Amino acid sequence: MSEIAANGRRASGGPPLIRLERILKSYQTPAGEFIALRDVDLSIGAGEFVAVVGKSGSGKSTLINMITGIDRPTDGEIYIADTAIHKLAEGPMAEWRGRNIGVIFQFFQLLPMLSCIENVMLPMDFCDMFKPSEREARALDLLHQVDMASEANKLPSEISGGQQQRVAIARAMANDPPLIVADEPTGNLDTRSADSVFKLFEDLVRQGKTILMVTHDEELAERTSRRITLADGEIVGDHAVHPQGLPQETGEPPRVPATRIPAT
Amino acid sequence: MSWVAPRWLKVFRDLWSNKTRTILVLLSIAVGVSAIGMVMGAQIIVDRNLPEAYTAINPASATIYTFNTFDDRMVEAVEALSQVAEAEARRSVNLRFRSPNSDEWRNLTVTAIPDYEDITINKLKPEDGAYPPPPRELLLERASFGASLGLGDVGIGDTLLVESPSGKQRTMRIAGSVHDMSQLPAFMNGAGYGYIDFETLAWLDEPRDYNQLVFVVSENKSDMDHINDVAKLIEKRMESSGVNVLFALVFTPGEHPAQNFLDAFSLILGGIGVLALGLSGFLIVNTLSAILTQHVRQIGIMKAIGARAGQISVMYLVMSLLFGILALMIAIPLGSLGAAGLAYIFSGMLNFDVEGLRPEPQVVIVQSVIAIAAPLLAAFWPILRGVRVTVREAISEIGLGKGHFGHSLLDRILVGLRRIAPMGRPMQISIRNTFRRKARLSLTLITLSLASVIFIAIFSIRASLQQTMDDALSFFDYDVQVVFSRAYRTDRITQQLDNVSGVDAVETWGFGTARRIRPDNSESEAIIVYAPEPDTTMLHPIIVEGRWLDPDDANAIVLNTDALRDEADVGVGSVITLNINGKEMDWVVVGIVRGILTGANAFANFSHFAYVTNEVDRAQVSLVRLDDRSSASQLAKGQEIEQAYRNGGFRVDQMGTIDQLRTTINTIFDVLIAFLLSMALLLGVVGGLGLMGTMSINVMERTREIGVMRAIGASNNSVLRIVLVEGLIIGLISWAIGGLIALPASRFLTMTVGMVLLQAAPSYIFSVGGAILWLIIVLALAFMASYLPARHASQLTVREVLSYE
Ligand SMILES: Nc1ncnc2c1ncn2[C@@H]1O[C@H](COP(=O)(O)OP(=O)(O)OP(=O)(O)O)[C@@H](O)[C@H]1O
Ligand SMILES: [Mg+2]
Repeated sequence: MSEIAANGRRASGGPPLIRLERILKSYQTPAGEFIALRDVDLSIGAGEFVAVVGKSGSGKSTLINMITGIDRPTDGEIYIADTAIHKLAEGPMAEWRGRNIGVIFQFFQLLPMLSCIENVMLPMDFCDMFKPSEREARALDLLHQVDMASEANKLPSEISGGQQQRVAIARAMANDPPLIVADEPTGNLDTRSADSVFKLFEDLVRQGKTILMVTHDEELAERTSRRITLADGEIVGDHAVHPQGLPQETGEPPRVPATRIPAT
Repeated sequence: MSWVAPRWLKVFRDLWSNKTRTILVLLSIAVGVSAIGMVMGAQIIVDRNLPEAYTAINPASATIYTFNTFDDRMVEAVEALSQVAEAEARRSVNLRFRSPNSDEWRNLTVTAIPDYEDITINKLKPEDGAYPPPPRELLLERASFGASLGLGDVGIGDTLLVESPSGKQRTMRIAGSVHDMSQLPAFMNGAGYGYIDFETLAWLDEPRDYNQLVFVVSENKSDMDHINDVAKLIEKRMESSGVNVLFALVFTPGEHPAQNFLDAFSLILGGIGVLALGLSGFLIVNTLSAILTQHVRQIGIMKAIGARAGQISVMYLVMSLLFGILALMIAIPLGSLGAAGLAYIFSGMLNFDVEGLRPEPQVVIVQSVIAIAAPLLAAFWPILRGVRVTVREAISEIGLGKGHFGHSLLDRILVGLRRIAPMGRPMQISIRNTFRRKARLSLTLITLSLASVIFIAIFSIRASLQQTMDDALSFFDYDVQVVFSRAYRTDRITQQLDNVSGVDAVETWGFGTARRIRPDNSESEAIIVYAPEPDTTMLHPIIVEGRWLDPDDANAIVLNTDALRDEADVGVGSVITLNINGKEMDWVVVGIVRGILTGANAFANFSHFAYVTNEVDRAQVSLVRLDDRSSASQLAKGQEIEQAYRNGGFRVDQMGTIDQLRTTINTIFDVLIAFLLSMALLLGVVGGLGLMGTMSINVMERTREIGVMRAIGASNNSVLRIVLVEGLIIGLISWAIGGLIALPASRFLTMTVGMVLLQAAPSYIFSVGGAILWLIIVLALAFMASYLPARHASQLTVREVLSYE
C-alpha cells in the first residue's frame, strides 16, 4: 500500500487525493433495502478543508466512514492516493488508516486508562512509527501544539470535554497523517471550545493537511474552503467557499467539481 | 406468542441473543452442580453396596499370624473360648512364580484352606472356572489379574511356573477365579492372591499345618477394644502352647480393610465438590453483574416508561432461575453419570461389585435445590444494585470509560509503574485493563487462585508421601532381604554369598515380636523387635532422645516413637518388662528413635536377643547391600542371591527388594494422586470457565474502546495481544496468590491426607516442581480462556463497534 505524500499540497492538475466512484451503500432493514448513499462521485484534492453538511440521517457519517474505511461500500470504488481501500481487509486497513488518516470522533474517545500523553503515543506504538525513544518527545510536542502540554500526565477523566478533544486532535496527528477526518468534532462542545478546536484545524490546513469534517454548525462550515451538502444519500451541493479567515497561500481556489442536481 | 407478555419475551431474547455468554453461565452452574451430584451419588452407591457385600462374607474380627505352625487342636481350643463364636485356620505361603511369557520371578500370596465347601469366615465367592481348586491347580483372586502384579497376560487355563519356599518348582494351571473381599486389594498388597487345597500344599513340599487363625467374637462384634482384648487372650493361649504369634491384624469392625483409603478419597472429593460449587457461584455473580451493567440503559428506559424496580428485579430473577433450570438439565445426567463412573472406579480399586447405577432421588433433590438457589442468591446483589440506577444515570452513560480507571491508589501505582519498568502503551493497556473491574477481577482471582492452591497442594502431598516413603526406606539401608522358613547359623548365611559377585555387605538380624507387660499387668500391642549386630551399617536411625545401642549393651533397648504412642509413661532410662516368645524380661530403654511408617519397633543387640530367644548365633533374615543399587541390579541380584541360598539347601520363604517395595507403595500413592489431580483439573476447568467469562465480558464492555484503537491503527494482532496479555496477567496473579496460600495450605492438606491414609504424620516438603508445572498450566489455561474473546475482539470492525450500545 502506498502512502500519501506527507504534507504534500496537491499539485495543480495532479491526481486528487481522495476519489470516490459510483459509491452505493445500502442497508438491509426489516422494512426492506435502505439506501444510505446513492451513486456518489467525489474527488478531494490534497490541502483542501472540506465541510460535509446536511440534515440528520442524510448520510454524512456514512459518507466519511467510507473514506476512513470504517465502513465499506455496497458497490463502487474508493481510492485514497493510490490505495484502493475498498479492497483492503480489516486488519491491513486498520494499520493503513493508522498511518494515513487521523480520525477524530464526536465523543473524543480517549482511552480512559491511559494518560493524555500516553493516548497520543498509542498510534505510534500501533503503527510502529518513529523510534520508541522519540515518541514521548513527539507526543509532548503535539500536546504543546494543541496547548495541552501542562495536562500531559492527567487521565482523560480529569480534564474537560474541550480539552479532551484537543488531546484527541493531537492523537490524530501522532503519525503525521496527511488526511484528517472528523465526524462532528465540535458537536459536543460549547461555542468557545468549538471555536478553539476549529482554529486548530485551520492551523493544520495551513501546515498542508487535508481535512474532511462533518458539522451541523453553519458558521463553522462557512470558514472552510469547500462545502459538500448531502440530502437523502446524494450530494446536492458542492461549493467553494471564500472564508475570511483562511489564507490562500497558493492563491488558487480549490477545484470545484460540477454540482449535481438531485434526481427526484 | 401474544400470550407471552413482552417483558418475558425480553428475558428470553436476552438469553438467546447472547448464546456464548448464556452457555458459559450454564456450564459454570452445571459444573458445580454436577460435581456435587457426582460426589454425593458415588458416596450413596458405595455406601449401599460395600458394607452389605462386606458383611455378607462374614469378615473375621481379627486375623492372627504366627511364626511357627499349629494344628486343628489349637483351633478347637480357641473355638471353645466363650468370647469366640467361630474360628478357622489357614495356611498362607509366599510362592514365587513366573508367567509363561516372562522371565521375571514375582510373588504370589497363596492361601490353603481346609474345606472350600464349608468356609464360615472370610467367605470366598466363586467367579469363573473351577471351584474348589482342583488338586495341583490354583484359583486366583479376580483382582489379581493385573500387569503390575505380573499377571497381566494370563487367564484361566494358563499355567504358571511356581517355586515354593523350599525351592520346589512345579507347573500349576490356573483353574478359576474367586472374589475375596477379606484381603487388601491386590495392588496394595504388591502381590496377587492364589488359593489351593492342602493336598496341593503338600505336593509343593510345604507342611500341612496352619500359620493363620481367623475368628469372630461372640459378642460386642463392633467393639474394637473388645476384639483387641480377645485377640490378646488368644495370642496368650497360643504362646503358652509354644506357638509364636507374629501379630494380630484387627481392622475396624464392619469396615472394609481399605476403608481408610476410601475415606481419604471421600474427604478430598467432598471438599472439592463444595469448592467447585462455591466457585461456580462466583462465576454467576460475575456474569449477572456484567449483564446488568450492560443493561443499565435498558433498565433506565424501562423505568422511564413506567416500570417499577420490583418488576425489573423479578425479570432478572426469572432470568437467573432459567439459568438454574437449564443448568440442572445438564447437571442431573452428568452428575449421575459421574457418580456411576466414580463408584465404578472405587469398586475397581477396592474390588467390590456395584449395582443399581441410577439417578438417586436424594441427589436429584439436592442438585435441584442448589441449582435453583445458587443463581438466585448469586444474582441477588447485582440485581439489587442494577435496578437502583436512575433514569438520568442510565441515559447519560456515553463514550468510553466504563470501569472507571484512575481513582484508586492501585490505579495510581499502576500508572506509576511505567516509570520503573519502561513498556509500550499496548502493554500498559493490558495491565491497567486487568484492574479496571476490581470486583470482577477479585472473583475471577478467587476461583483461579483456589485451583492453584489445590493443584500445588496435591503435588506437595505427592512429594511428601514420596519423601515419607524414602525416609522410611532409607531407614533400612539394604537392597535385598531374604527371609528363611527357619533360623540358620549366621556364619553359614553370610558365607553362602561369598561367591556371589556385586555384594557389598551381608548382615544377619534377629527378628521377633514383643509385648510390654505394663505395671498394671495389662499387655501392650505387639512391638516388632529388630536385633542387628552392633556394628550394623544397614540402619540409619534418627535419634530423638538418648543414644543408640553400644556393642556391650546387654538388656538395653531402643524404642521408636510409634512404640511410645500408647506407652506414655516410658522414657529414656525406664526399665520395662517385655514378653518375647513367652519369656518375660526386664529391659532398659537407652534411646528413642523416630518412627517412620514401620509401626511400633524396638531395637536390641543381636547377641543378647539371640540369647533370649534361644537362637544363639542363628538368624532367620539375611540382608544384602549391593554394589550397584539400581532397580535392574536389585532384581537380577536378588534372584541370584535367592538361588544361591536355595542351592545351599536353605528354605527361602520370601525374597524382596527395596525397589519392589517402593514400586508397590508408589502404585498406591499414584492411584490417589491421579485421582486428586483429576479433581484439581476440574477446579482448573471451573477457573478457566470463569476467566473465559470474565474476559468475554471485559471485551464486550470495551467493544467501543477496541473500535477506537482500530480506528487509530491497531492491527488484528495488536488487539489480540492486548486482550491475551490481560488474560495471562490474571493467570499469573492467580498463580502468585495461589502459590502463597499454598505454602501453609499444602502442609495442612498433606498432614490431613497423611493421617487418614497412613495413620501417621508424613514428612512434609513443598513441591516447587508442582508450582512451576501449575504456572505453565495456568498460563496455557489463561491463553485458551482468553483466546476466543481476544479473537472476537480482534475481528470487531470499527463500524460495528461505533454503533455498539
Ligand atoms: N446499520 C444501519 N442499518 C440500517 N440503516 C442505517 C444503518 N446505519 C445508518 N443507517 C441509516 O442510514 C442513513 C444515514 O445515516 P448517517 O449516520 O450517515 O446519517 P448522518 O447524516 O450522519 O446523520 P446525523 O447527523 O444524525 O449523524 C440514516 O437514515 C440511518 O438511519
Ligand atoms: Mg452522523
